[in-house]
Amino acid sequence: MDVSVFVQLLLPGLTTGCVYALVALGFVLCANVSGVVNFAQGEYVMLGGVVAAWLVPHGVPLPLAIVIAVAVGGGLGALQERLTLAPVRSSPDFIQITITLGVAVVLRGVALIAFGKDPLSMPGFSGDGVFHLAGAAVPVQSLWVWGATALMLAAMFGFLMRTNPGRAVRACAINLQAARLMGVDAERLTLLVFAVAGATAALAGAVIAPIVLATWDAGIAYGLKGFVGAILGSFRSPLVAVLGGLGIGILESFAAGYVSSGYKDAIVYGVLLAYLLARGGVFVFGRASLPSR
Amino acid sequence: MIKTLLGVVLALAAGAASAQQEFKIGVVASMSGGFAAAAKDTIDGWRAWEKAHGLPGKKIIVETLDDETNPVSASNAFRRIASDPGVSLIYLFIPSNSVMAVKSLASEFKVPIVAGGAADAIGIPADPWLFKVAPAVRDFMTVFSQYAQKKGYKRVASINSADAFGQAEITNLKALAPKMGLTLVAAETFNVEDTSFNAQLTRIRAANPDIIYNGASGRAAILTWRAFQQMGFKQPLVVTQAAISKAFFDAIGSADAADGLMTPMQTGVFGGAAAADAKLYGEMEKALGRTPVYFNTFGFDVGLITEYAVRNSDGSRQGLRDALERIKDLPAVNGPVTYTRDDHTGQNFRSIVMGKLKSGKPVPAD
Amino acid sequence: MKARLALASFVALVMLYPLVVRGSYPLGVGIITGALAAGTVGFVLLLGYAHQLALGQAGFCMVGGYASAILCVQYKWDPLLALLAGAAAAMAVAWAIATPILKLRGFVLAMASLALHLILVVVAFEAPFTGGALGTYGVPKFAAVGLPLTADLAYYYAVWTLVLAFVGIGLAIDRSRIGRALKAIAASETAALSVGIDILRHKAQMFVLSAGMASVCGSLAVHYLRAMDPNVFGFAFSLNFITAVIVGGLQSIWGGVVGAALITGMRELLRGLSLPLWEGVIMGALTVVVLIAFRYGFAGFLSRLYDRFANRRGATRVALVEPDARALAPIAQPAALEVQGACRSFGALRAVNDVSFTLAAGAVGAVIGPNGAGKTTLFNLVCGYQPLDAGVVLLDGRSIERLLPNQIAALGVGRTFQNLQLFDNMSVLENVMCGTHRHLLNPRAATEQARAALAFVGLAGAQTLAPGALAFGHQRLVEIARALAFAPRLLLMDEPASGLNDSETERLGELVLRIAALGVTVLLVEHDMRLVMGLADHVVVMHHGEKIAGGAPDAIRRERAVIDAYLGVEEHAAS
Repeated sequence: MDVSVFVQLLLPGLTTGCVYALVALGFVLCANVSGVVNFAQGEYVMLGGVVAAWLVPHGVPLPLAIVIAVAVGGGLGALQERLTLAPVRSSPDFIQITITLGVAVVLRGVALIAFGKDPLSMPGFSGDGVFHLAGAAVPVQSLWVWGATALMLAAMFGFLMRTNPGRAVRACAINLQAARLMGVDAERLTLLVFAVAGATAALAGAVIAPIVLATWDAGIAYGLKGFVGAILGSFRSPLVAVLGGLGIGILESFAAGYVSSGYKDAIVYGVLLAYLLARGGVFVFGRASLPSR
Repeated sequence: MIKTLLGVVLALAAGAASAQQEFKIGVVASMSGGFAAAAKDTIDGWRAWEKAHGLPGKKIIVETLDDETNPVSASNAFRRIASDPGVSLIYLFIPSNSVMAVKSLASEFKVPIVAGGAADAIGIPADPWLFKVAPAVRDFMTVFSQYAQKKGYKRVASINSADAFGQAEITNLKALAPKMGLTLVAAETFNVEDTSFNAQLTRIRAANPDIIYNGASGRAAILTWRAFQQMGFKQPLVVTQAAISKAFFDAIGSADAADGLMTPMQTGVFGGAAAADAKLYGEMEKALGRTPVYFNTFGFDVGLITEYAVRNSDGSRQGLRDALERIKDLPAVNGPVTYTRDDHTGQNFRSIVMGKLKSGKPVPAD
Repeated sequence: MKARLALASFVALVMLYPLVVRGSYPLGVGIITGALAAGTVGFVLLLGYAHQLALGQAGFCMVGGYASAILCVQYKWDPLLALLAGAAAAMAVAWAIATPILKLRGFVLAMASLALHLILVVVAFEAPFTGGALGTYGVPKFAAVGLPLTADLAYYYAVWTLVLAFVGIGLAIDRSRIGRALKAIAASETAALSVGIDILRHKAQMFVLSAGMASVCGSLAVHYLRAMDPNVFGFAFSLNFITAVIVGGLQSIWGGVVGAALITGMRELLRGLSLPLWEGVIMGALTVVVLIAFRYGFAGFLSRLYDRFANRRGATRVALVEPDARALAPIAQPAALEVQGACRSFGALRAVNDVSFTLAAGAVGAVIGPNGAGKTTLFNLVCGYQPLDAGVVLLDGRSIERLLPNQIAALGVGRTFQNLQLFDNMSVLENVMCGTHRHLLNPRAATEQARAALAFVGLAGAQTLAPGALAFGHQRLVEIARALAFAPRLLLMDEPASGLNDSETERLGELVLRIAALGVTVLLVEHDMRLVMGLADHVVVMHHGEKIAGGAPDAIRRERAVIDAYLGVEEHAAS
């Protein structure tokens, strides 16, 4: 096996996997605290990218552009929670999930109108060069992606393990009703989690934009692939979700590289379907317990 | 009393005369979606024709509908426009898929249509009412293969988009390669929304080709170009004409950065002495006010064809159609246009030459 | 009456439209709206009734579209046959993936169907038989078994006739046993399981049906477009279904049709105003706003308007009538229950620890004990709502501990719940009719059975009311009536007296005696000692998850352990 081909496929796969991992993490955190799958999660990645990529050529210094992009992501995430989910907290889950879908469509549409249909490019943070490793050429920006992702993951897990709000989030993941009974303010926590998920997704989008360009319609693919990562962890375990997201990025790259670039999406989504079918066939999740709300 | 009557008659005559002078063209163009940039360039080119030539004695009215780069919307927009009895001629500035969707309906509405799109199937088999401008993919790939053969290259690699355009490219290349003594060592595809071409380029590099054809346009063109640079490809690179645009030059830094990039181009784009028709090219450049890109020239040629049809017919839909079909060797920016009863392709490979970019302008490749 | 008005309006609007708007293009819009409406009827059943959000409906439209395109163009099939073949293929695919995936949490189906859709798009691009990226064109106009519909107007009427047929199917489902089951599932899955409703099967049924209708939508559209390629039914088309159904009204079969018309109208308006880019934002915003503020959509709004004007207000107070003990027939073959060594732990907490007891057929048993003793958990173990960690549950000697709740219910085990589980989206009568689900009765027989059960408990006058309009004590009776309509061989009642005052409790006691007189085996969980002592043949006392005593009531009440458990052990000697 050609090592340079392997590495050439592995490293960029890891890079996109980082974005998927952060999306997956956002999915899991929001779902655990609010009970709702936020279909708009992928759109925050898109927004981070287009906002940053739009600001830079307009004269905004790069660090500030990124900060603004992250603020936009976090702000909109909080806004989404306040405006569209808080009023319907007592509604059935499927209604709330459909609302997040509506929000995703609105975000896409607004991005199209505001930023146009053309892809926006952004300069790499330390230039657009490449570095070589085992015969493979990898953009230097990838290092920024890996670094930023590692930092965000460390911060996230530190938050979950060592802070009180973080522990409250984990409690909600285990048993929402019990957590509420123990005094956890799930409503305030939901706001926090949505804002954080939006902000980290936006940062991921901004950091990968120099490599892939930012377009208004990139959100769905990020959302769906991040979702695959989250579902591998049953939507409960943040760690498995992150590993799942990384794995999907690498799988996608290998599928395109070793099997067929035309069928790569079919392979990734096929893995999702196969996994779900296997889980449904072997495990029985259908035992209803008495309602907890 | 007589004076009033005369005044009324004159007014009516003037009204009738001015009404006669209107020529309504319905346009279906991609105002949004992936093809929007190309459609806009085409419209700009057509407007250049309108400014430089126009239809003498007639007032052109244009109604434009968006196809959203989507065959369903194209079909709807076409029906809407074709149902308007005031429309004499229809332009389609939309991608091949959408043109094919309209082709299925053309004979039902009986309005003459001039369309772009590169798919071979648009012009052959010919629909009596649909006329294609610009050579088919078959012709571009023929020129590419001829060039490779001429330079003594044997191993060819290709990367094409997973859409009608890309599939047409690879189908033609696969058919042409054995005839030209070439071996297709890699045939990669990508989705138009893809952001990573790593896998495809890795496989191409492993196949060790002598020359590479890249059918990407839009965002994919930018990203693949970068990827080729970053992965250190040394082979000559040939791209599709549609990839060359202002947005492309902006994204890669400057027009100079693309020096050496080759593309099979219609002679019209060369300008100056190399143009099939230098005079027409000059008129277009002047009316446009800047260096034309491919889709501009195509729009200009659509105008020229319209001009011929209007001048040589009674202005009715049937009349225009018949006039279009009679076109033989009509001078145009991109080479002479010819339609026959069975072939509505218009321009063919004789109007294409391999060009090379230098400082953003094309020159014939050696 | 409301239904007839809806039907009449529909027919009138469909007939009038082509007369009012002239021109080929508006007629085409009418045809495409009809195709969309055909698909949205199925989607209402899926999203509104089965509460399954599917993001990939367009994938099934693709199946129908390609089936019609390929079969008609390449194999010269009759278009109607091709349409049916496409629908059959779509339904087969839906059935294959539904059952495993629906076992997982609900929103998984949403993403799974999107993944399937995207896979189909890739296949459509790459597979040789679909025509690849260019697709298949030259699709002929629709014809019904040799009868060509060349005129657009004829096709328009054909499409809308099909829509009407689909609406008919939807309305039939709404009024049927399956419709009640779906509403029950939506209101309370727990209670639905308790009457033997197979939740998974009904959700899968709706998924399959909606796939078939989406496929028909695709076929109809393709015969109008006359071409089919991978771009025709993209993700945006799936969003059309969702927005249409939400705007139109989730809870009404007509909602899909209304929504299809509304969003098509809105889209044409935006096109006319040359604002195509705003379509996405407006559709998304509409979805969000309608779900937050006007949950029932436009159809729901119209329905409420009608109700307001028709002044439909029935009696709000209901008096109990004398219960009719002869309303129900005695139960044949009451069941015997035996529990051996039941164990269930939650983490370190042993909720039920090695509990064993026997209840003879036709007897009345009671499980008593202080709060937190594990009584409700024991019930959940018997009925299948919780799995046993160890031990067996035998019903008439047959072990049932591995069965699902609805399977156990199908064996004749009925149940009432401590925290009332009524279906608040149906009337009292329909609630009780749900109890008859497992008997597969026709509507008349089901209604008779339900009325009999209501008469038995003394609530004959309350049939048309919503459960929420009743006093709490009466609501409890509705739940018991539902359990009786179920014709249980074994009835588990979890704290039926909870929340009742003294006189209500007394009447409850009489009711339980009458139920026992029917021959039903009854097992009660109760706090109220007087109730238990008066009713039970056999009492089991639980404390901290363990059985501390079992036997006849009089013997139990004198046992030291029982007294200690209820009153607490004395720390100091009484002074």
